[in-house]
Amino acid sequence: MVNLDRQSEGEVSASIYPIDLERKICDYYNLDDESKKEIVKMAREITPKTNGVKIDRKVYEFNLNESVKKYILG
Amino acid sequence: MTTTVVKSVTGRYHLKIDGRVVGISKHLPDDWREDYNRNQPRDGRGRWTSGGGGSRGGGRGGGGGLANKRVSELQEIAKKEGIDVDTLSHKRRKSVLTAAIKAKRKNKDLREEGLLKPVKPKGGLRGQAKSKTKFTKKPIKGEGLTGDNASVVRSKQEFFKLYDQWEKEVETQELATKISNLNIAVNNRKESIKEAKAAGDSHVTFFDNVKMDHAVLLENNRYHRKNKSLKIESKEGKTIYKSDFINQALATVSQREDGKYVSSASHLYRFGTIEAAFNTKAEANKHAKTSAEVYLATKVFPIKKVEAALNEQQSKDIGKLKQRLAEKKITDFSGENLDRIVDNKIIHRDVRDAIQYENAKALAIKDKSGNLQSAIAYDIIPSIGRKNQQETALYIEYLATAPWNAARSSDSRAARGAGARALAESIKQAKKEKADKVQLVALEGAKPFYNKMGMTYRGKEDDGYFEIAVDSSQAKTLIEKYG
Repeated sequence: MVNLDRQSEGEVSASIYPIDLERKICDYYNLDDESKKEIVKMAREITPKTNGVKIDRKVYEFNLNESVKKYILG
Repeated sequence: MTTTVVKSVTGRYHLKIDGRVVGISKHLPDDWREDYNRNQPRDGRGRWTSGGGGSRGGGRGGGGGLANKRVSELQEIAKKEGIDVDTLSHKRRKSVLTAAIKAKRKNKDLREEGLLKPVKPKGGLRGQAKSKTKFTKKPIKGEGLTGDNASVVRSKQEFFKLYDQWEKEVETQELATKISNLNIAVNNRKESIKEAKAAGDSHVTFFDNVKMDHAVLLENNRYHRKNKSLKIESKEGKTIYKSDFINQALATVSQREDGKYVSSASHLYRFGTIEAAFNTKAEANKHAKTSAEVYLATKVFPIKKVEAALNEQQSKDIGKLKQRLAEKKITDFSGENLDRIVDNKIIHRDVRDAIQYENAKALAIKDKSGNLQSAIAYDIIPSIGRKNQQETALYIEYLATAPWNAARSSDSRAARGAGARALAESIKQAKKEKADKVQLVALEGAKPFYNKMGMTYRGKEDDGYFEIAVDSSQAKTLIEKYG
């Protein structure tokens, strides 16, 4: 049984990059860990940040999909 | 003009002319999608802007799916799906309606997905017993890592020393990743079987790009023992190797201009083909035949047997991994918990990398026993959305809680309030560094937490950020409660 008394607050994470979105897209394409790393790296590199910290989620989502295609189809 | 045919990740064929997709088909070569319109309007980035063609889950614009519907249309669809629209947290918000429809279609609980209005417990004021609200987790109280129960670490050197504790948990986190990947692979395969059955096929092809254990499946795949003969056709000077039961060229042999013979066979782990050149036709034929046989043996399975094999694989392989995870004191194998564990590994490494390589500042919380309970990588920046040019913010680039807190584990190190204490300390730090606000972008699942902490959500509905002014009453309360 899960010990709920000891459990902390659950999800509290904050991140410049939406890693939940990264996971969802990579899972959709059934990618292994190595491929995921490469794709996320590619997408992060090409996505600009406003104010040096904030990315546009839609642009990032588009870049992730493009990186997947680039990676898989070569 | 160059025309190419490329197999997509979903197993469809894309006909490309000069690199642009002009046709999509499930089977080669003449079954192109009838509803595909090459003149469909596109936006500046080449994405379809309306109607048809949206990729399932790919998140591209347009698509003719739910994303293009109006609020009233989405409400109608939701009603048809059996959703009581009035119970939704925001019945006129497209994101909520879309998420609710998708969740309902996947038979997910709308309450657990956080899409319904909160339920207020009845009674309580006149001595009546309050009806118990079900929590999937304990609500945060002003205890746990508050006050002297924890201390703040600001030195990078000390942070890296403590961070080793988290790195030791990566092995456990990778077990969760394996279970998650296997679950996805098996479920995707089951989906392919469903599609193949619906199409009346006797065999199913798995185009997985994931390297999962094929042992159980191969054992059940009798093709390479029973039926070694391939269908060989000749067309336009090419020798084509096919099977009796799938309408797909598995390998071809053709002669190149330089006189060499080229065997071109379907790649086993990547999409597309792999080519090899030979001096004689016999050598090229041998290569093509062997490649085609290997492809059939490892990629194409008889539907009748493969379902049972998949179930066996799910119970055997995943069962073993779950057992190993249970030994590490994690017994909640729900998809959400596994996702949280997988995400935590990425986030805590992002915290480390930002501090180590990107010159972000460190702020970490350690408990009395010296366990690193949470950590922040931050920077002082001109605040996002500022009206006053001088306004600055302590921007939390990454905030991670300890792996034992992220997983629903019975680890004795797990503590409540790790994130809340880190946030309270970040407000204190912002005051010290004369910043006006604390700002951050939360993961989807963490949004309720930051709302509860009294932070305000700003910006676009699905792409905003949280902030709290350091001099606000909310900030004062947060520090008093968790600091």
